[in-house]
Amino acid sequence: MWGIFTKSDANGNGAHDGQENHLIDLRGVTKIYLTHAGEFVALNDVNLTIEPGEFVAVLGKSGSGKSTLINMITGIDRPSRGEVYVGDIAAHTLNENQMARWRGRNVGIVFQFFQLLPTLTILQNIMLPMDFCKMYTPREREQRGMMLLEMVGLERHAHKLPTAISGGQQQRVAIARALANDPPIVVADEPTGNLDSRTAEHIFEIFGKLIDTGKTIVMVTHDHDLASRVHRTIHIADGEIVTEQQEALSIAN
Amino acid sequence: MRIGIQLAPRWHKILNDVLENKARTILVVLAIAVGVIAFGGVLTAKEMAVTDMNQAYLATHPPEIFLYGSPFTQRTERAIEQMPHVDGAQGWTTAWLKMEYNSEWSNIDLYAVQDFSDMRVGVVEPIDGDWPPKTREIWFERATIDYLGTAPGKTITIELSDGTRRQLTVGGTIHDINAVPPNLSNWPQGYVTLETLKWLGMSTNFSYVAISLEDSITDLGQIEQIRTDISDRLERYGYQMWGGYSPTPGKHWAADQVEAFSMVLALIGALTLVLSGFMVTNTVSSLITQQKRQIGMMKTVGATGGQIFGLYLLEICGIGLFALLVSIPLSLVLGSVFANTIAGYLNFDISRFRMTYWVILLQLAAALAVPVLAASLPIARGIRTTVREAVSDYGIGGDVKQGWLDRLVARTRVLSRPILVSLQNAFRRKGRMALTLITLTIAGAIFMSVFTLRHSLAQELERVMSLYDFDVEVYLDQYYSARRLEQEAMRVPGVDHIEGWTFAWAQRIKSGQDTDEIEGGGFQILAPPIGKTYLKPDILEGRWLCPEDENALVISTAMLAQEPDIKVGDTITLDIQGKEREWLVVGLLNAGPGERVAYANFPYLSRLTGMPGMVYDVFVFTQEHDLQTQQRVANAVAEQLKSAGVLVGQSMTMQEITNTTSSQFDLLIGFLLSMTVLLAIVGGLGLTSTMSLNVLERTREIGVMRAVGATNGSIRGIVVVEGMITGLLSWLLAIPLSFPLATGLCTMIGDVFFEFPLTVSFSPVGIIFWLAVALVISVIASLIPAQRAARISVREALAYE
Repeated sequence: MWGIFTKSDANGNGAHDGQENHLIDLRGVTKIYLTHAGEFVALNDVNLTIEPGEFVAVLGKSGSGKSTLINMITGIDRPSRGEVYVGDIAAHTLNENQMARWRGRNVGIVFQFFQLLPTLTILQNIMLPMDFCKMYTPREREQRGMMLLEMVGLERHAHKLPTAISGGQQQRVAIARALANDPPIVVADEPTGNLDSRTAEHIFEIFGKLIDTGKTIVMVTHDHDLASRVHRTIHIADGEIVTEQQEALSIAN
Repeated sequence: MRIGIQLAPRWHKILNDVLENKARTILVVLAIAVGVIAFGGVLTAKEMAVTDMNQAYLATHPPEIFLYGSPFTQRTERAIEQMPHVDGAQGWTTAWLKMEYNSEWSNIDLYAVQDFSDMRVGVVEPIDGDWPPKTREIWFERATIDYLGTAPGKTITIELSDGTRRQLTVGGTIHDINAVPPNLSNWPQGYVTLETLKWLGMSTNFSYVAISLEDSITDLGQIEQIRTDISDRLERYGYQMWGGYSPTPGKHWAADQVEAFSMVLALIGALTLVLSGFMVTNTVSSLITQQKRQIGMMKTVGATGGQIFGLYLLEICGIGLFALLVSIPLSLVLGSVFANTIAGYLNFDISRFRMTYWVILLQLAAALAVPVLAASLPIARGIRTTVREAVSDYGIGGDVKQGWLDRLVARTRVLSRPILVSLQNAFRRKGRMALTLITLTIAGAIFMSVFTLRHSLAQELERVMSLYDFDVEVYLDQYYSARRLEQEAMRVPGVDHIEGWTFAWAQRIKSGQDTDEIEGGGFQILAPPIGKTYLKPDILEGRWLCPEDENALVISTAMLAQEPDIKVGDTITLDIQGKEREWLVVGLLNAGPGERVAYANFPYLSRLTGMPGMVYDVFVFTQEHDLQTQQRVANAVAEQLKSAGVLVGQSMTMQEITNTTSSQFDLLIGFLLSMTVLLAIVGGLGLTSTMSLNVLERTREIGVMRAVGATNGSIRGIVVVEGMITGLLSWLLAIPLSFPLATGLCTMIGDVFFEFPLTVSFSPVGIIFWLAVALVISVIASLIPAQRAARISVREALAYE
C-alpha cells in the first residue's frame, strides 16, 4: 500500500546539465511587462537557488515582484530573460502543454483565494489533478483524495461543494489538492493572506508536517511572524532580492 | 470513507456546468433543437412526400405517353397494345360541361373509360360505393367530394352544351392521383361510363389514349421515339393525329415542384441551424469568459490545452445530443405535418408516419457539427488564456474600452441616462452583438423576402391577367363562324364586343439520332384575330405578329422551357393535323405560369386546319367589369348561344381564372412563412441568450447601480431598451439584405413554377410587419433577463465573481 506521500528525494530529481544539485535554480531571471504606461520591470536579474526539503518564505511589499518570482518557479509565467531550472527540468523551455503536465505532477500550488472549482465537490476538486495527469487508478484516486482530506481534517466534508465550507477549510482543501499528485515542491502564494490568525496557524502547521515528509515549500507571505519560522526568508523589493536570511528556528516551534 | 464515485472529476465538471445554469443550457438546447427540427422536418417531409407521391403514382401503372387524335376507339386501344414496347393502353373520353349542385353552377370535367373495372393504365382506385360506376352515375374524385361537399347517393344536374339538363346520381368516391385536385383547378372532376356519356348525347370516342410502356424503358428520349413510332403507325392506319406528350417517366406531375420547393425550405432550415450555431458561439464565449479562472486552475493542476478543449467540446456535444433527442420526435411531427399538408393539397396519401435513417443521420451530424464548429473558436481562444491571466483577472468590466459611441453618448444631452446606458451596453460585447444581430437580421431579411415573394407573385398574376383583358371566356364544343357568334352574343345586354379565337394542336418535328424524325413535345397554337385583340403581348424578344404574317409563330417562355433549343429567328417544323409545315419563330413572349403555347395569325391557322373564319373560343368584353356583371353576362351569353343552336362547353369569368391561379401559391407562401417563424424563434432565443449573458456578466454593475439608487423599474428598463435597440438595429440591417435575398427567392420560385424569374416587387408591408415582429421579439426576449436583473440584490451583486 502506498502512503500519502512518497519521501521526496533529498537530492531533488537529479542534477541538470552537470550543474550543482539545487532543486530550484533561477539564473539571471528578468521579467518585463508591457503596460499602457510603458515597460514595467517586475523582476530584475534574479538569481536564486532552493534546496530539497527547504521551507522558504518570500517577503516583500505589494508590487515588489514576489508573485512574479514564484510564478517563474511554477511556470505560470515565463522569464523575459534568464533561465529557470526545477529539478532536472529547464522550465523556461517547456511549452504550455508540457508545462501543464509537468507542473501537475511536480509542483503543487496554493493560492490566496483558494481557487477551487465551484461546481465540483471538495473530494472531486482534489481528484481533479490526478485525473488530468493520469496519476493512480480511478479507485486509488478516490482513496488518496480521502486520505488527503483526512490529513487536513476535512474528511467529513468530502462531498460538499466549496461554498458550503469556510475560507480556512477551503484553503486546507486547496493544500490537499496541491498534494494530490504527491509533488516534491509546494508553492503557496499568500496562503494565509485571507485567513484569520488561528486558521493561518493551522495552515502553517500543515506546511510544517509537509516539510517533515521531505517536501520543499516556497511561500509568499506578508506575515513576518510566520516568515520568521521558516528555514529561509527572501526579501524582495522592486524586482530584486535584497536580503536572504537563514532562520535558526525549527518549524515546529 | 465513502467510496464508489464512478465518474472522473472532469466529467463531473461537465455535468455540473450543464446543470448549474439550467436556463442557459435550455436556451442552447432549444436553439440547436429548433435548427435541427427545421432542417430535419423539411427533409423528413420531402422524403415522405416525394417518396409516397411517386410510389402512389407508380402503383397506378402510370402512362409514359399521351396521344391525342381522332377517331380513337376501343379498337385503337387494342391496336396500340399490339405495338412494340407497349405494355398497356387506356382510352379516355373527356367532356367539359357545366354542373349544378346546391343551387350553384360550376364547370365540370367528365372523364370516361370503356371499363373502370379493367383499367390498365393510370388506374383509379375506388374508395366507397358499388364499384364499378354504372350508367347515369357519376363518381367523384375524393378531393372533389370534399370540395363540393356532396356524398354518394345525392344527385347533381349536368347541363349539356345545347342547354339540355340531365340528373346524375353520385355513385361513389374514387382516388385518382393523376388528377389535378379542384383546390388547384378550381372546378370538379367526375367519372362516368361511356354508356352515361352516350345517354348524355355525347361522343363516346376517346379524346386521348394514355399508354404505358415496358418497365425497362425509362429514358425520355427513347420514350419520345416510341411515341413518334406509334403516332406514325396510327397515321398510316388513317387516324388524324393531333399531338401528344410524354411526362417525366416515373414522376408524379408535381414531383419536381415539390422537390425544388423542399430544397428552398431545406435551405432555410439549414440557415436556421447555422444561426442557432451563432447562439452557441455566444453562449460558449460567455461560459469561457466566466470560467477563465477555472481554466487557469485546471492548467495549474496539470490539465493540458487539449484536455480542456476536449472537456468543453464534450460538454457542447452532450448538449447537441440532448438537443437531437428533443429534435427527432419533433422534426418527425413537423415533417409529418408538412408532408400531410402537401399530400392533402396534391391529393395523395402519406402511407405511414416514419423515421428515415439518412435524415436522422444528417440530424445527428448537424446536431454535433454545428455546435462543435460554433464552440471551437471561443473554446480555443479561451484555453489560450495563461494561468497568470486567468488567476489575476477580476473586478468590474476590466476589458471595457471607450469607443466612439461611448464618447458620443458621453456628450449626448437629449436622451435620458438609462437609455444612454442601454445604448452603450448594447455595443459593449461587439462580437456577441454582431452574432445576435446577424441572426435577427437574417430572420428579418428572409421574412421580408417571403413577403416580397408574395407581393411579387400577386403583381405577376396581376400583370399576366392584365395581358388578358377580357371578362368572360366561353369554350365551344365545335367550330362556329365568328360572324354568327358575334351576332348572337351582341344580343345579350351588357356585352360590349367579342373576340373569336381558334386553336390547333401542334407537334414539333425534330431530327432524330438515326436520321428518323422524332416528335418533340406537343403544344397548342392559339390564334387571335388580326389587328385588334384583347391580348397585350409582353414581348421579351423579337416581335409580335404582323397582319401580313403567314407562318409566323410567337412562342411563350413556358414553351421555350419545354423546347429549349428554339431561338427567335429559327425555322421549326410543326405537324398540325398531319400537315407538316415550316414556321418562323418571330418572337418570345411571357404568357404567364405554365402556359406552353404559341401564337399565330388567325387566317393562316384557320386555313391550315380547314376551318377558315371559324372559331372555337369566344372572349366576351362586358361594359361593366365587376364580378356580378361578369357572372351574369357569362350565363346569359351561354344561354343565348345555346338557344341559337351553338354547343357551349364551359365558361369562366376573369375573376374565376385569377382566383384559380392565385390559390395555387397560397400553400407555397404558407410553408415559407412557417419556416420564417422557426428562424424568428432562433433569433428570439439568440437575443434572450445574449441579454441573459449580458445581465449575468454585469451583475456587479447592476449591484452598483442599485447601490446608487436605481429602482427595479429602471434596471428592467435598461435591459429591455438594450434588447429593443438590438431588435431595431436588426430591422434596419435586414431591409437592405432582404433585397438580394428576395431577388434570389423570386428567381428560384419563378424558375420552378413559372419557368422564368419573377420580377421582384418589394413589399412595404413585410418591412413594416417585421419591425413590429422584431420589437415584440426583443421585448419578450429581454423580459426574463430584465426580471432577473431587477431581482439582483446589492450584496449578492458585489459578491459575484
